[in-house]
Amino acid sequence: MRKLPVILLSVFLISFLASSTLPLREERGIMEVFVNLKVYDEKGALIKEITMRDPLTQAMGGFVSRLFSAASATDESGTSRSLGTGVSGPLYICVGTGSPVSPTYSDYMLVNLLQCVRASQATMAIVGNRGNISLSASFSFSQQYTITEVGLRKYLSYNYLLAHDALSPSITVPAGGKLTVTYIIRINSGV
Amino acid sequence: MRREILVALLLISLMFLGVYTGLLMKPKETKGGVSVTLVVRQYRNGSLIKEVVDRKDPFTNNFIQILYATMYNGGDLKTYTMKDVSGTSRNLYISRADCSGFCSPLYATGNYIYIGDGTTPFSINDYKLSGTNILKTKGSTPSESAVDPKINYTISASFSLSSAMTVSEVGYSKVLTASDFYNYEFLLMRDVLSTPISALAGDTITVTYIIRING
Repeated sequence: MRKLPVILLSVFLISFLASSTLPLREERGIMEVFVNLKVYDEKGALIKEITMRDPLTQAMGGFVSRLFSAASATDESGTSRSLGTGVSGPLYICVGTGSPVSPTYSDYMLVNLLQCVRASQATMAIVGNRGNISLSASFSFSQQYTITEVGLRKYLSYNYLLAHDALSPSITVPAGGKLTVTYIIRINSGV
Repeated sequence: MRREILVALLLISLMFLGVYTGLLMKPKETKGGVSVTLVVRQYRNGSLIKEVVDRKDPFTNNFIQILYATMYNGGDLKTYTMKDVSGTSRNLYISRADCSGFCSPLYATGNYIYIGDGTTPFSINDYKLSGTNILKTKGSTPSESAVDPKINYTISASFSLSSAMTVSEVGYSKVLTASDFYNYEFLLMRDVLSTPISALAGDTITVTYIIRING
């Protein structure tokens, strides 16, 4: 019985130390970007769907920063430009077949661009203290492609890559198949 | 038998307590997106006597509306609606070809930081602070710093109090030009402090917003 306090203390310490093997506590950003991809076969049947959190690029940082201050961003030619105050240019969703793809904050273009499609007009929904802005685009391919990267592009006199992500594993769209890509910008206020 | 059950329950409880304590002591990792850190400091006779750091509430519906306008997919003369700090809904142009940026949603002439004594929980539909004792001052021009190599934007303001007040909420607003070509002020962020600050006349309150673009 005298050993009980030692045993109890040992259990606590072992549990405490064991927790160090668990992943870091993750703090959610106030604003996050997700991308959802759906692959359909030539008959229109859904054959694959993935959703992932998408890293922002320096250009998206610039566009968000404009809500607070004048900001600049690097266009797809690698030139840094002042973004000004305009917003009215079109948005495109792009897919690529680059390899290897290791997205970084400094990315300003896809590794190997396959195709860009003008996105649908963005829609917005607010539920509780969360807001979602979403937009999507569909790609139809006459031949089979293995898609390894996806990006969101804004045209504002120049092309700016707002988000870039690698698909790991890659996804294969069969000949005659279709790929739909949906970007969701989520605001997690009050959480 | 009962003692053995109690000891077993105690062991299990301690095991969970150990894991929970260990997790609490782990640093937080911010993954991607945009985060906002609010730092409120209270100074008395030049000495820091209290600091509150919060990372939870910020963006209001007005912010989302501007972001939505930024994601607008082309076209001209479209408008969107935001509520100014008086509670009046205002239309703002997403774009208008004949005013070359002047009436774009981001054409702005200033920003303000507020402190107040309200304690109403944050709502995304907030358009003003909730308290009755509210002070406002111009925010600093946002400063930019590259961090690893992401970007932090820092906006700050300082309040010298002429009378005592409890600071329990903070807000950030921006002045934008509406479609009637008048300027109005719109609340973009509001925070209810995790720990209110009881300040005396003569105290200085500094407010710093750090907007982190995490990539």
